Amino acid sequence: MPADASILPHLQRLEAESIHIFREAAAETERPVLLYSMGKDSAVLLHLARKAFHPAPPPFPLLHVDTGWKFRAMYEMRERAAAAAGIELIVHRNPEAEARGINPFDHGPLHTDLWKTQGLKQALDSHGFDAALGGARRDEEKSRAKERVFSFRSAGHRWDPKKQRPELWRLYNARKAPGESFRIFPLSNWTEFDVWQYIERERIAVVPLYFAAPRPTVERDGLILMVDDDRMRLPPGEAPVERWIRFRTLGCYPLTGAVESRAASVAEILAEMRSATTSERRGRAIDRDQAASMEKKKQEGYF
Amino acid sequence: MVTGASTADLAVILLDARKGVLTQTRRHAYLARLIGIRDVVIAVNKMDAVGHEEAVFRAIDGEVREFAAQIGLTSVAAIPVSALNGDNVAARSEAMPWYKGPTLLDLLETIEPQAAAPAQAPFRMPVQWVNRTTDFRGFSGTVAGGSVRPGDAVRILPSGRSTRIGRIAGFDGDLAEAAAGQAITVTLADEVDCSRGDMIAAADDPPGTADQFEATLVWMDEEPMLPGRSYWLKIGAATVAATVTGLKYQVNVNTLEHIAAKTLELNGIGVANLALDRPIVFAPYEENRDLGGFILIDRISNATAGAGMIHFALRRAHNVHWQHLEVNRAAHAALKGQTPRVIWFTGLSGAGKSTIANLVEKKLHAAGRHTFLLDGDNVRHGLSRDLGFTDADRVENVRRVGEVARLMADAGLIVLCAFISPFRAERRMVRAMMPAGEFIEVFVDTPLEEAEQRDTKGLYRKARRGELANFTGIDSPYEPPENAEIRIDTTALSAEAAADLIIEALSR
Ligand SMILES: Nc1nc2c(ncn2[C@@H]2O[C@H](COP(=O)(O)OP(=O)(O)O)[C@@H](O)[C@H]2O)c(=O)[nH]1
Repeated sequence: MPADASILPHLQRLEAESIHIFREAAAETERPVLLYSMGKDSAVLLHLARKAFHPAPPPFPLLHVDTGWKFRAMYEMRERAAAAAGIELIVHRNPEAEARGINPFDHGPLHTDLWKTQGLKQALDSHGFDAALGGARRDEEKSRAKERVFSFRSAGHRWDPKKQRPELWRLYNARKAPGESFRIFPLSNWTEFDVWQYIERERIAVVPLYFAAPRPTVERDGLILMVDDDRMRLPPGEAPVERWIRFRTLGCYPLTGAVESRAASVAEILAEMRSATTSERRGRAIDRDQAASMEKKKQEGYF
Repeated sequence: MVTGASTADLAVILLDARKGVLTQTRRHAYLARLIGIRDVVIAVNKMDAVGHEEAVFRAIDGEVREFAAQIGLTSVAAIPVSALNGDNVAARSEAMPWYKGPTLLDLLETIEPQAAAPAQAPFRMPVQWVNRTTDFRGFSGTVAGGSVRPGDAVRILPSGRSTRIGRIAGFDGDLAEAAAGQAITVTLADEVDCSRGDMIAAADDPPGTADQFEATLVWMDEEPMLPGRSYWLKIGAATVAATVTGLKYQVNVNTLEHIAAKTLELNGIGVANLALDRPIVFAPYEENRDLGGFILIDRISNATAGAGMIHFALRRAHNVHWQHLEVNRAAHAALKGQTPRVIWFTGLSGAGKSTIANLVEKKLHAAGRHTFLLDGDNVRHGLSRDLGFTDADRVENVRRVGEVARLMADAGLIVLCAFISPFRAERRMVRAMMPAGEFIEVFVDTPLEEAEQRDTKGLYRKARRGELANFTGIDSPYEPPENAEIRIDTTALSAEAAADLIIEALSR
């Protein structure tokens, strides 16, 4: 294939499918928004959105549902990426969570529920977004394996398994009544490995925390956490330990486990992945909280 | 199964060596064939349980070949495996030295995946999105067949306008060529009309357009498919209104027999004729999945109710062109000095539809208007004599009445229709047949208790005694209108007052 000869046919197929989904989403919904969380999947998603609508900018804004507890490097990436794409960036912070000082140390699962799940619903409702494009992939974990590309949400953002629509060929049914909405996942058929290969080939900028480096860390419940700022709670006498680490997924820093690694480039990450088989979401404290509860989180509207 | 198969290149069907070919094996092979999967691998599992006997495998292999030929599957391979120890899955089996063919994994690796869209074909691209900036007007879509280069002569369908490809605008610079499967954006050399749902195609070999088809339907909704009901049909980037005009037969997927049927239930598969409200660009599904595969969407629940695969266009669509009549609709109406209308009275049996419609007609007639009243009495005995009161028959009855009313309105008449017409979907279908503003829905709103108490024809009593089946309001549903132009509350208004109110609304 002439101009894109450097792309593997496999990646090219995935890319074309995602672009197709973006265009369907833009054409068939009234007010779509791209959920942007600064991670590698968001980076790929944003890149594909730009490709889909080039030379025009993507016909939707970016939305970041913030918790105030992301890694500092992620906030830097957020401003840069939005500016580069020429897209409006909306940042939403749940005022209730803010007022009540909800944080990952004292509030456990409530932190995720209030900041992320409720925060997302508030943001979608207050702006009248009827379609939220996100970077979830089917390979991430079991409950997502059967998720649709156009995932239907009843009024109130409820995910009802009986209302999900069969998806045949490249035909997506985006019809809905007022108050109903869609979550749309253009990366559904990508694997973590595909994402990294694509980042490599397209030279997409990602947060440096994905690459191994010596960083200050502590251990909590078997997770290696990075001490990203002085809000990390250390008992008297504990000092952070420097370890070579990188992250496979990025979230709130006190809840996101690192892996020990020396992989400092995309090529080295790919090499490491070829010999590993664990799920990237293993590093997330929220998923381990209630292992079988992802299904429940989805029904409640967590992404 | 059908959903997953629609995007698959290959199917692996697992069967148990102890049990051999089961009904389920046949069904899955048939569905794979139906959806167009070329390569089917039959993994004959649990060979350890039959002592790794060659004879057992040979017998199954023979049976597989026979029914594969029967359903027209051309590339079928059977492999004896034992998942227990991985025999012939990834590694060759020492227990089955008599098997000389490839292992399952070997076979999967040698089979060339089918391209989703055919590369060696004339160029086709359904337009998904019009990309506009102040100085750019491009058309985005996924190439569904062939390839394209700047300068190529193309035709925009269904309008048929010709132009040439300008640029193929890529993110990292323009492309010199784009091929089937790629998602691209092209510009056109001329300012021609082109929007979402149109197709850009090779000028010298454009695809067909038609508004009537024969297709295989696979039903996926709890609500059964009803011929005559209007559905949304989505194909490529186009969405049009469609009705099933006739179900030719249903297929028993276990025996492959054709059986006569009027409707399709959940998971039913059949062959049907469809009519659309406007022409679409298409190719037979066998030639091109993207141009021949469609979904049907329920217009009320918005559920994806069914999927279909186009066989061919029905000749009528090509040949029966609408006669461009010299004496047209406007001429008929002008001679009568009135605006044609269809006034549609809906409500429960005994609500007062016919009484009110009669009064309205008398008043209009007295005012010198040209009218005609259609109701159960003059329709059920002739035009719809062959229909009963099942859901399917009610839908067909309303469709016929709608078509007749439309022709009468074309003749310039004010047509009054008094029918229970219990389903929103059909009332909406008739509304869609008429020019905007010419369909007036009158909801004769009488509560069931009230209608039952009046019971002028004694029907409710009969229904309650179980002597009338499918009686609206008793054992058959009534869906009240949500946006009727006029609502008559018969508990508050006399029939006279109701008729005056309708005349008054008409003159506005
Ligand atoms: N079995 C059955 N017969 C009905 C039903 N509704 C009406 N009928 C009979 O069919 C005749 C014409 O029905 P139709 O034109 O649809 O309704 P109408 O204009 O409200 O009387 C009625 O006069 C009844 O004899 C029903 O729900 N079930």
